Amino acid sequence: MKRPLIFLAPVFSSGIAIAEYTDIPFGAFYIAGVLSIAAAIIFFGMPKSFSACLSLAVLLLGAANLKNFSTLSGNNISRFAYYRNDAVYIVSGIIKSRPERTKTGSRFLLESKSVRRRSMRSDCRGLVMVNLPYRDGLEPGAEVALTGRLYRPSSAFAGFNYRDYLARKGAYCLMSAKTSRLLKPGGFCLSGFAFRIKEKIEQVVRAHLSEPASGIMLAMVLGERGGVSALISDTMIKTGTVHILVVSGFNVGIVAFISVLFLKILRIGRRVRYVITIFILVIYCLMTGSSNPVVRATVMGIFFLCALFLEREADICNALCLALLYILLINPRQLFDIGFQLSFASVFAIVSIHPRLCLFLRIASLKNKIAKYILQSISVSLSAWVGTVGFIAYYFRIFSPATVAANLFAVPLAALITLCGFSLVLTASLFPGLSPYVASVGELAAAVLLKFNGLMARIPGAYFYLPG
Amino acid sequence: MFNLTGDERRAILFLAAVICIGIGISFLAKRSAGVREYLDIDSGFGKLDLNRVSRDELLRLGIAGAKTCEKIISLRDTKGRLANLEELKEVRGISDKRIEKLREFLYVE
Repeated sequence: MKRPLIFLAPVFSSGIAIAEYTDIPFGAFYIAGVLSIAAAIIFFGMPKSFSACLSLAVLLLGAANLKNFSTLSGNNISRFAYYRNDAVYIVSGIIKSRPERTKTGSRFLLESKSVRRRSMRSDCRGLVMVNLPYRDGLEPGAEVALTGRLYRPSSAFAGFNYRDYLARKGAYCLMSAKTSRLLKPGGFCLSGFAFRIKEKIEQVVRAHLSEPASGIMLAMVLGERGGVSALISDTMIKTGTVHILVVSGFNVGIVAFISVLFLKILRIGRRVRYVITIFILVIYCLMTGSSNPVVRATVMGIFFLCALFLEREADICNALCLALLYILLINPRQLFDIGFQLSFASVFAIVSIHPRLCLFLRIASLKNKIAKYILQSISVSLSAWVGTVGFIAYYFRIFSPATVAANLFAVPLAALITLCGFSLVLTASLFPGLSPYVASVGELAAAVLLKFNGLMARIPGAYFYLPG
Repeated sequence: MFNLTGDERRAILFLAAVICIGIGISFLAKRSAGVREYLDIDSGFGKLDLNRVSRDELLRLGIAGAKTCEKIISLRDTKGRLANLEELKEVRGISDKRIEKLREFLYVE
């Protein structure tokens, strides 16, 4: 089998789905998994029986992995919290994620170490989602003591299941903190370093572009959607172009390309170039919040760079499945995340449908380069739409026939804005005098993109809301 | 002369083109009010017309709960057409502060 991961990834995912929708305990999955591995060892010399036992083992281990992930330890912080609770707690721990700005302050994940209520102090562990009035100096890796209310999230919150959303992040309780005390600064850690670079880039973009355009550029370059208003997001959902506001494989590809090119100009050796680029991709992944599409694209990018390093041919399907397994091994709950499903479904559809469409339409034999480019763009857009239309209809209750046409124009514009964003960061650091001109192009492209989206959304029949 | 590879040439060409277009836009923005107006994206981009908006659209914006959205639509349907956003004060639970918030998302033509 040349592509073993293409078979193993769906089997592993099926195991996770079975565990989610059945009440079979961890022990049953685990014992059956161990027995399947033992059977695979016994049937080692018989290819068909070996494959069957191995598949069963992967399926059962996928299920056991989810059950294990969902089982909380005895001293998990959520065991100290209740649904309605006004008691004041003091929780100390280490900041795990970059503090995100919210309307009321900031929000981040805290890896708890101890919890105190009145005079009772207990050691604890587990993640807690913290809401805190904004203050400077909080960054990933810093140790803090927070005072406030600790409670479990309710299932229905702000129109969606917040409890499940937090569980997918590995957090089972919330803290509404009033005060915070910095116990130990972050020091040097990779995520803290990435966080500082991100802040610098944000400053550069906000200094050069006006409000809606800077928000759009930051969403495309850093995945920071705080500057994109609900109205802009809503219009883009209607036209099926909201995916361009998410950092994805395209952005990771640009970062890899710029890094390799820059290192090449510095005359750095081929293999060293690839190693440095892998490091830069990891930093970029951390900068953009390690969301599912970015992790997928980063794993795929590293896979391709490793193949180049080893002078071997990389297979895109294997890379995609490796990314899927990587994410699900760390956090199997991500299988039920909308971003995860849309990201993998669109890439899988592009990888599997686009080449067939090209073959069917005989695009390769076209001599006119413009016609070839347009047809290829239509094919990619149509493939991605086919892959994601079911998920979008199910989750967003919207069906947008205008998606393919809108993407034909929106995707090149988004690419231009993203490229301008990266160019702006480079020119602001190397040739500050040129950066206003790069920013002007980005601003114009953002204005055209918004006006085009507004126009598309107004076309009768461009989108329909589905019942439910 | 520069001994550049294809990728290097493309990257440099892109930067040169962006800077060239950027200088052009910068000049036009100084001289032409039309260009300035085009670049000045309204912060209320995508606002919805209160007399046309559906209950689902209101709900998706997350500016009000399901019951309030229903009351807004019901008031509009009863009156046939609303002349301005202030008329929404007739809906129980919508205050001046709420109207100001709604103004960020809705308009009346």
